[in-house]
Amino acid sequence: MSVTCPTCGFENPEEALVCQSCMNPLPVSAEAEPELGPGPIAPTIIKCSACGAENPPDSRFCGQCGAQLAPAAPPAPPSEEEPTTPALRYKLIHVGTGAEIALPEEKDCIYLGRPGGENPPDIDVTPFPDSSIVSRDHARLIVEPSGEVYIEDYKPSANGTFINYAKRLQPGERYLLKDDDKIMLGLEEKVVFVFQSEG
Amino acid sequence: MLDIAAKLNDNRVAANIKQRHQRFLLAELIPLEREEKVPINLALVLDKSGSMSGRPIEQVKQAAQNIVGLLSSEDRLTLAVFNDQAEMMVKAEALTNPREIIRRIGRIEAGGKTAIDKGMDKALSQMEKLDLKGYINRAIVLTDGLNEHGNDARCRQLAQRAAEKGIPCSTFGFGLDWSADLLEEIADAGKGRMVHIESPEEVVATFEEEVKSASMTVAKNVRICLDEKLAGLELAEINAAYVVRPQIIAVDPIRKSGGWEFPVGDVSFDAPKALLIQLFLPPVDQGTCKYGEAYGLYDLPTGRSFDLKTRSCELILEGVTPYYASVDPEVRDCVARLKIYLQQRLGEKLAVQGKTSEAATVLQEAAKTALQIGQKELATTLQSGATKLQAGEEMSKEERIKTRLQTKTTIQKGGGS
Repeated sequence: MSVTCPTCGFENPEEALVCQSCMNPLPVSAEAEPELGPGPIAPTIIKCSACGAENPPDSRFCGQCGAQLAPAAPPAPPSEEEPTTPALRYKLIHVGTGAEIALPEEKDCIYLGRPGGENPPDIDVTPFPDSSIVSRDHARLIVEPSGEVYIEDYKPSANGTFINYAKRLQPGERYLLKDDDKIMLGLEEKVVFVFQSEG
Repeated sequence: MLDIAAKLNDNRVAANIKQRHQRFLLAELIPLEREEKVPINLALVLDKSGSMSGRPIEQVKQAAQNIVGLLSSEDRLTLAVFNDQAEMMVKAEALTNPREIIRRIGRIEAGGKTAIDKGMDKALSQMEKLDLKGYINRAIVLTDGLNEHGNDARCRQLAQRAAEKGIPCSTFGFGLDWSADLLEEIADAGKGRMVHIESPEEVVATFEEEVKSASMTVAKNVRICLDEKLAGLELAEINAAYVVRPQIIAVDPIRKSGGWEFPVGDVSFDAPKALLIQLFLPPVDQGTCKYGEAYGLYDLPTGRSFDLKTRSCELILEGVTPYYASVDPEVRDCVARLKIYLQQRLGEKLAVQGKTSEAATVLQEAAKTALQIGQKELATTLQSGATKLQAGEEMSKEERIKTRLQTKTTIQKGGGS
């Protein structure tokens, strides 16, 4: 099994994190984990509030006037807590829709992915555009008693987990999340969350 | 005497994961002390084609004459000049009568076309006949033009043959009309330096610097060895090894029983070399294990000792769960410099193929990487190249040459990076 570098076309072995030829971060081979199950959700056209142009579902900026796009209908945060729960300490903000997902405070291991895997996701990404790029068991957040939050691509996922668009997590690697770190599930900036602490 | 230090960008890996781990190993050669003074066996291969007329040829003659002044009576000089033909001016002579040699150099006149390989052949073939053992050997090829009446492949072969015999071959590109591809190939095959001389005023100083640096050679015919101590240790299939200091040069690994050998040429006291090896570590269990050993083999310039061995570095790997990446900043910077170098070359190739927007993207990525490691000047150069390509403009000759040299040279003269 091999991975073709999207930058230079070199065929790399599947374990390569960066291309051996041009050293750009690599996606994982498409065959690594055949994705069946629920397909991509129906695309929602985003209408630009500034000029009225219609943009493809995952656009972040209007193709016509360049204004930042507000999503047509932000999907409801999938694992929203009861309103009675006291203030939550951490949240993920989905880039594109702006949806905020609070991390459940009582859990020290929070699974991210799509339903149907080994671990039912605490944060189900299915409602977001392009979620088919995300594995069922994609990644997990580990909350230490000290309050530090780590992310781990524990399985490993089929398309990889990237921090700030540059660093790809190695299988089994735990990365300490800092405020405003961008967590990208799969390549091409399709599914990206910003990590933030609240308050 | 040489010492060695070797480390991975991260010597810990996630244990019990059924995957190989991609890593970079940095092996640095550290000169310990300078030996007694060793005489120099120097070859100058100088372009005297028509384009050198006027100030350029006068400066080059001045530089050669100054070099004669720097050399002592034990040193030997070979000097060949070339246009589309080559002429031997000084044939491996001891510097017993420097004034006469200076007079001979003064009679050089510019004219004719360019055939670099003819000049290289004349001088290097002569050098190779000499007893090179008790000498520091160095060849310098200077040209200001394209090799229009010469054979590029022959230039590479001659440089490689010289390097294999122990004569590092450096190239000086003068002005803006020379082929960066060819001069880099000669310097790389010759395991020497590639230098850009921008103006006639720099000629003299550049020659002197190269000769002074050569005279500080502490080890010749240096090979870095990596012995495998863990089954499944493998090198990357491509770009397995690069010298990353003081300039970036590809190295072809030689497979030996039980490991690999990487020939890196001579090592000078003023510009220590470092090698970056791209490898894959096999899956490991929890705990530490030794995956390899790294050491250097070298000859002393005095010619009295051969195949001396440096201290041996034990290469230790630690399998851990959970695994937290912690990257060595020095190795990370070397990896980043290599990435920038490779991407600049890829960008150039794409631009030549007319894939302008792909080329711009690659250069932009390289600029981003340069910024991440705090190389602002390099980032600016790369970004301005990307911006020009995006605007549909071509990079000027000067920009192309400067970008090349800036991406290739990781340690500037006088230290610092």
